Amino acid sequence: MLKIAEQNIKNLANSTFAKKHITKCIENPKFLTATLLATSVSKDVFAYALRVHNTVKNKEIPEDKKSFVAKMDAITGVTTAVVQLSTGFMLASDKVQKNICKHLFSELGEGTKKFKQASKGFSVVSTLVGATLFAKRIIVPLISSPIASYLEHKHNQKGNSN
Amino acid sequence: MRINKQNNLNFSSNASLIKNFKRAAGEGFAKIDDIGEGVNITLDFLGKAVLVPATIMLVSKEEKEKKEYSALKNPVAATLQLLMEVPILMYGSKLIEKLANKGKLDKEGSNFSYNEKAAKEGFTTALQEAAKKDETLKTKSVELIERLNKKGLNSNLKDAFQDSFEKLPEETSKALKKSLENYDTTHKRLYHLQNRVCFVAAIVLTPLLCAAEDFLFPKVMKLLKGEKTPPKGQSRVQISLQNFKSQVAKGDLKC
Repeated sequence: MLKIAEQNIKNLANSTFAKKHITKCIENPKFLTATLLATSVSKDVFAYALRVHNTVKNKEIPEDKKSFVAKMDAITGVTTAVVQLSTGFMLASDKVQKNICKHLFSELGEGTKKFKQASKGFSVVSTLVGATLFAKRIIVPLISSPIASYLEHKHNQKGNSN
Repeated sequence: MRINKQNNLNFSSNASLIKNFKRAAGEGFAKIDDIGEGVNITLDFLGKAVLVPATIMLVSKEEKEKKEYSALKNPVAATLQLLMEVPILMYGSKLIEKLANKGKLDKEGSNFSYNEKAAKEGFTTALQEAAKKDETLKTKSVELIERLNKKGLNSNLKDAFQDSFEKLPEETSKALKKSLENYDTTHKRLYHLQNRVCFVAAIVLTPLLCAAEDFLFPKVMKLLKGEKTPPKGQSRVQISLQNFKSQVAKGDLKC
């Protein structure tokens, strides 16, 4: 088992894709930010996809509720992904970062080595905090709630007409 | 006049406070070195364990008891998630580090190495050789190597090493800088490889983690609140439509 894992990790580590990806993560802080944002979002998307799959396969849920619950899970998953990605990329944009760093790290002297290091660290942290804390935990519920109400209303209307 | 003096004093103390804050923030962010999956896991935990309950307690218009229950649910789910994700990252990273330091992840004939131990040995040997010919470097290198062994390589220590090479003959300084750069790159390569492999492992293990969370969550809640455990297979799916809506709104749904 460990041998198989070892061989798979070795193959992955030496693949052209992994080598290019790792080199880019080291050399380009913006790429690293995008990668961490993508890994965070993809974990959520995968978990929501799994929920949809489990709901559809669950025989204990009545058919009329099944499609509604699955649809809601799918919509929440998509909303989570879209809101997190758009917030993250907006925060990571050069314009936003330059403006904040210029004011926040003015004491370090613009263009100095310390200023560049601080800007690099701030870019990654602020993007992840914005996307995974504020976008995911505050903006997503605010958007999901009206969508849930609308779909529930529609679902109830459909149920009444049947 | 007295009032003006007081205002001026307040203004200058506020200005120096802001200045100090900006300097401290700058120094703090400049020290941030390795950012990876650990940060993602921590932020996700903080969001679920702190931000969601705080929002529920402040914003939700539900009854007090319901509000408290919802606020408690999220930290419990977040802690369970953390307890399952952290070991994957920790033990996964340790396993990869072990393999890399034994040279088992390096391909023959390739110069793209993950062997941090070998890169570190190469650098410290070169440094000790150079230190034999320079008294100042000798004292400094002992101190720096000690720091390296204690805390590992970081940007501050890298700067300190580079500063100590400045007064050396050009050729020696160049060779040491190259060796240090090689060590730093190998260290970063290994770090990013550990993060990506642990991410893949977390994705592959998601169904298992969700099942474990679904199994443990009602038991922990029962312990904390004396709540009745829901029947098997009914933890999430048998919620009413209204309940579903409010759960979505609070981010309460679990896998």
